[in-house]
Amino acid sequence: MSSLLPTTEAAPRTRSRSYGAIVWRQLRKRPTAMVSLGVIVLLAFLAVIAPFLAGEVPIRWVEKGQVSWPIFRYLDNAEYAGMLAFLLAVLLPVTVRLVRARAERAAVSPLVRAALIHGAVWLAATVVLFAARTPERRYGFFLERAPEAQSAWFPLITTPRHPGYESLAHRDEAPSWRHPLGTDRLGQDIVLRILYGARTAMTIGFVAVGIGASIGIALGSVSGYFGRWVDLVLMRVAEVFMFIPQIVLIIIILAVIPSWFPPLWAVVFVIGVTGWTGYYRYMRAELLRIRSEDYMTAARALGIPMWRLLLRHAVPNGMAPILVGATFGIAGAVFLEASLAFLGLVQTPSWGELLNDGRQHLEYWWGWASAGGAIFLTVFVYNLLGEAIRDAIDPRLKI
Amino acid sequence: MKTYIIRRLLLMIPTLIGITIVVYFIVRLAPGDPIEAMIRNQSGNIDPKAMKESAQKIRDRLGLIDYHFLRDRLFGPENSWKEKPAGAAFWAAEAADKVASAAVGYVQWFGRLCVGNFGESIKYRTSGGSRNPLLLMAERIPVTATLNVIAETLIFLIAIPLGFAAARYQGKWFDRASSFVLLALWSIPAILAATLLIGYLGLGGRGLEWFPIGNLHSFGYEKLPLGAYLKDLLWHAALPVVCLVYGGLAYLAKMGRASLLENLRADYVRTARAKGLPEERVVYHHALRNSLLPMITALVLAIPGLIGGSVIVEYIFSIQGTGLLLVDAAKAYDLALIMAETLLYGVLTLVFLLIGDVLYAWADPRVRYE
Amino acid sequence: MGGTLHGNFNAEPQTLNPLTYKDLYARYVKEYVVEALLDRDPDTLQFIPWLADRWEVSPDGLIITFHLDPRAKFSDGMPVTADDVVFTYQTIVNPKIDCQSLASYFEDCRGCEKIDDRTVRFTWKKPYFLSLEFSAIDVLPKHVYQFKDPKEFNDINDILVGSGPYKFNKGWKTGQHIILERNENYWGNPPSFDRVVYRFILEEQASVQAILAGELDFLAVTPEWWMKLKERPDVTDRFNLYRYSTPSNGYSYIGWNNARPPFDDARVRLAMTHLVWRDQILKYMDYGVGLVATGPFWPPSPQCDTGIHPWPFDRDAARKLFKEAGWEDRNGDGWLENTEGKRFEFEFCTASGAQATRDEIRIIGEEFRRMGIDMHVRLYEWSIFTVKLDNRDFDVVMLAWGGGGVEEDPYQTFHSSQIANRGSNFISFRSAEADRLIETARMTLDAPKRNALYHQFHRLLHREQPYTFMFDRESLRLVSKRVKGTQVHKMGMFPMDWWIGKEGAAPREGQGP
Repeated sequence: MSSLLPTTEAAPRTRSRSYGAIVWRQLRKRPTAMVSLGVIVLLAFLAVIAPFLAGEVPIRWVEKGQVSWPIFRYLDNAEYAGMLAFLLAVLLPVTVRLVRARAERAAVSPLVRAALIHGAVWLAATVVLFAARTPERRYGFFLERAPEAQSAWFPLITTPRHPGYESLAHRDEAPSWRHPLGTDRLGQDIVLRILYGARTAMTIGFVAVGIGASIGIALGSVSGYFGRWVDLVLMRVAEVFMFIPQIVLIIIILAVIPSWFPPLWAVVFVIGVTGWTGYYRYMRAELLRIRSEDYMTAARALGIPMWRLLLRHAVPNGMAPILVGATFGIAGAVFLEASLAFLGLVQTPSWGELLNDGRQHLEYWWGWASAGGAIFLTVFVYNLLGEAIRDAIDPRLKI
Repeated sequence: MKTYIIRRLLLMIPTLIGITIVVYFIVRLAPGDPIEAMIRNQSGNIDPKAMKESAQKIRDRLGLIDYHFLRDRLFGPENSWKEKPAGAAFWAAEAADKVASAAVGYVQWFGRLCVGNFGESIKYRTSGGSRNPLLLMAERIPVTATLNVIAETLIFLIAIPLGFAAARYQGKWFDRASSFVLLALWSIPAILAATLLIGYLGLGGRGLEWFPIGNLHSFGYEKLPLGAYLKDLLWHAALPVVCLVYGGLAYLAKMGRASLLENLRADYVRTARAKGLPEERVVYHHALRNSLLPMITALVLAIPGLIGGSVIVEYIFSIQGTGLLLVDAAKAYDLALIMAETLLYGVLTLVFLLIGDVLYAWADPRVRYE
Repeated sequence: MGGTLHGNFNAEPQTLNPLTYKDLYARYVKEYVVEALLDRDPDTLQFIPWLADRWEVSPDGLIITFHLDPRAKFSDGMPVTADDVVFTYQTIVNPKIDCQSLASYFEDCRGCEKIDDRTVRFTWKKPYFLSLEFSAIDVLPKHVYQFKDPKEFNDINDILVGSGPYKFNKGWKTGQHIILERNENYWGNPPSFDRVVYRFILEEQASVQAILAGELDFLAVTPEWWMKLKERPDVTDRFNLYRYSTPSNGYSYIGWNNARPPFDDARVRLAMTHLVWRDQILKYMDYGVGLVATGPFWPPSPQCDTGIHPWPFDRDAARKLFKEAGWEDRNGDGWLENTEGKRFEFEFCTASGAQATRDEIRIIGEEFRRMGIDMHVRLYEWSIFTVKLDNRDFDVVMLAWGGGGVEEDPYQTFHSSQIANRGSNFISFRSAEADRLIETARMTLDAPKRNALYHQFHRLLHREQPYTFMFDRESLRLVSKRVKGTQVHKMGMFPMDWWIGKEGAAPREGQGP
């Protein structure tokens, strides 16, 4: 029985958990969610290190006593940026912990602050990279000169990066030791195509949905904060965007872009810019709902400014359905990319393209089965994750 | 309620105008000349002068004239140039002219729309020879709608009971397994599904050869009596419908499950149980009926989707539907057709959204709109 | 005799108007229903009578007279008369009628006049070796097509009436098929089928499965399918496989912009040709179906110099030519530069088209990169692409010309006068000698002399390489064994010559499960 006398001992400290932490804890308990997350991280990792896994540029090359690391010269600036992004994303939890240790109470959650820090670092590094460096693009002749080298560490699967006359002679080969998933109709290794296709899928998924979600969150907050006329107008704008036929816009944008602009990013841009309406509505609904809650009125009466309250309470709560929507959005974007490749609109290396290739000739099953399987796996995993998050944010399940 | 409906209807107008303006300008301002391209594409070598005239005539008819007010004032008319001017001023003048032409064109289009003239399709004709976009769509909608109706019916018939069953046995293996399976189905890309179905279940394929793989009718179907005609139609529609159905199950099943779960937790159910009513009666008599409500709303909202076809399914199965029409229209910058489709779909969706909301309010007295 | 022939089109024609049609499929349909004054013997390639049973050409080649066969009549029983020929001609050249490409053939024609009910005369301004070919126009029935306002005629899209063995009677069901019926009144040899049906199955795999399921009688296939189907005994049991060349197949090519450096130098163009390994591409991408082209003429045509062999794939020869033209790697960066240090780079344009074309470009581009040439590929939508061609605003394009007749006039494609005004010489090829050869040859009515000139022209093109000629395509057809009379002529295959044999099952029609 505890003493009723006052003690000098301080009351045990209860750690207040943020909404996000609660959701995360729920998620950790679900094996499907963790496996899905793991697969996603693995896919992103494979996409990022693709050149090291399959290609023709060696990682290490020793000739006439000279050691060089050709692959690093040949890596694109965008590839380095991608690697950095992946690294920073994976290190996010570390930064979060550091940030939280430094300042417990702030208007903005530690997660957001950590994300902003990482974002700024990435942006700065990328700008410097693009300004200062031009990647090597010439034909390397590495495969042909391999006998001349004293030592050459080629990627795991050594195969030409692009199809050429020589690879043509090896078209449509069944899986073998040299080509674990076989070759496609131009003689290109399918593992290579799957790896590089993963990049397209990840890019479309994350970036397109990222753009869409950002726009949606921003506009939704504005709508929810100001209300009335602003809300009325923005809702109409959202409805307009909802009805713009995406396909039409994509086709036309692809025709407009100048030659140096990669079509993939144009598509990503279009998907992002036309896909924000859902997120807008979630955020707006959350803000409008919270505004009328009693504790908000009380807080306002205490003189706390509205924006601070919304930021601290409404936005984090609104993020939950947005997160669910985002995961399903990524799955949808991967599907959309496959459809675009099917219609022949985009020519980036992608799973959709590979799937379409194999369609007419089912007996060369390694191509379409790999691509179809990759699309299926990715979309499935995102869907599982989305489901799990949705279940996790269901307040009735909280302990 | 009445004021609510009227207000919603009035609010639709600026939205629709906004949609039409955005789409019109996008298509109009896109570079490339669809008219001359179409003429040239289809006839190879052509006398340039004659083509210009031909193109001009078509442009007049379709209201797609490009005006050059600014450019003419600053640089003189085109036939007075020795060589094409260059520079930022020229580019800016042309851009401004293009925007102005688009604006004029939009007003023209809008004016014609008010008297019911939807313009003319550049690329397409109905089998009767008309270029009226509405008729073009009217030709294709029945095809798409037939498939969609069959597909949606199947989805509702399969998904809702599944969802309800999952809620009933919540947490047990059926719930988890069905959720897993449905999600997996949803994750299969349509291209893959269609290809596999054709390849392994289709006539002339590598497998069972049970179903035809193209069109919705056998050749010579007009002569069939009604019973045989329907059988033939269903036989042809089998594979495309499967493609449309398998992915749509997950969403509706989830919704059904959530709806029933919500009702099962409600107070009135707790009361019923406390009253000692058998579980079956509780579930089937009370909770289910109320759970069907959101399903009805979903049904209403699905109706506008009936006229939108899946491009992939239509292409792979050689079905002349509205999905393919829109994509082809976009590729050809076929303005009249794009505008007509967008407008039709926009109007339908907004109207049915309103109907859905009204229905929900009517069915559930707790919901009130001011 | 009798029965129905089932064929397939990969795309639906836009219109069946016999003059304003623009696509291949409409032309196929038209050929069943409408006839022309003269035909070509499918094997000797000589002109033979058709609607005209006799004709005379004046010695100077300017006056061509046709005498109509008195038996000739349209499907409604009305006789084919000179009035119909004159009407057709006047409709073609009427500037308000939407058939400018056809009308352009008659630029140098003074007119077509009726001499009597059965005789017409075409008068030309200049001697032209194709005058006879052009004058032998299709003949449309005036009483069906006459119009007050040209718009009426332009708007016709499903009225197709002629004197041919089959007639079209509103048998076009959009999205489904086109049906032609036997013309019971046909004035010539009785047609062999009761009906001819063309279905619209867009997807190739679906169309292959349709023919294997017995729903089609004949089908055009791509080389890939060809190779697979050839090996299957269940296919070769039921079908005959044919492979042949026909003048309408045309040829594909890489068009270098001859007015833009570095492609204004013929050595550079030849070097580029040396880097295109056409044999390899043909062998592995087309499974050997087709021929490597060396010029614009159809190989069996007398205009083609068959003694010319394609330039071989030769990296060393290419390097040498580049060096001669001033292009070599001067700074060891792996790219070719000229004397001013400018890198060899260019943009390769193509219209979004067949996957096969894009693949070809990719493979070729890899070889260029190997040589040190930086190539960027740009895919354009057709509407923009044609604008670029018109404005000569490109470096390199890959295209194909659909062929026409047995003999072709290279004037529009290679004469320097066709560079301006958006003519078809969009690569801006300019050669005084080529001009001279073209001008002289087209006015030479004596065939051997003319063909000798064309051979010279062919050799000139081979030296100059304004295009890198790629392939003369071949047609591949799968035909059900129940169809008889399927002979391959020098000019190709003609379904109208076929008939249904007694044995063999009929295709499925209106059948349920």
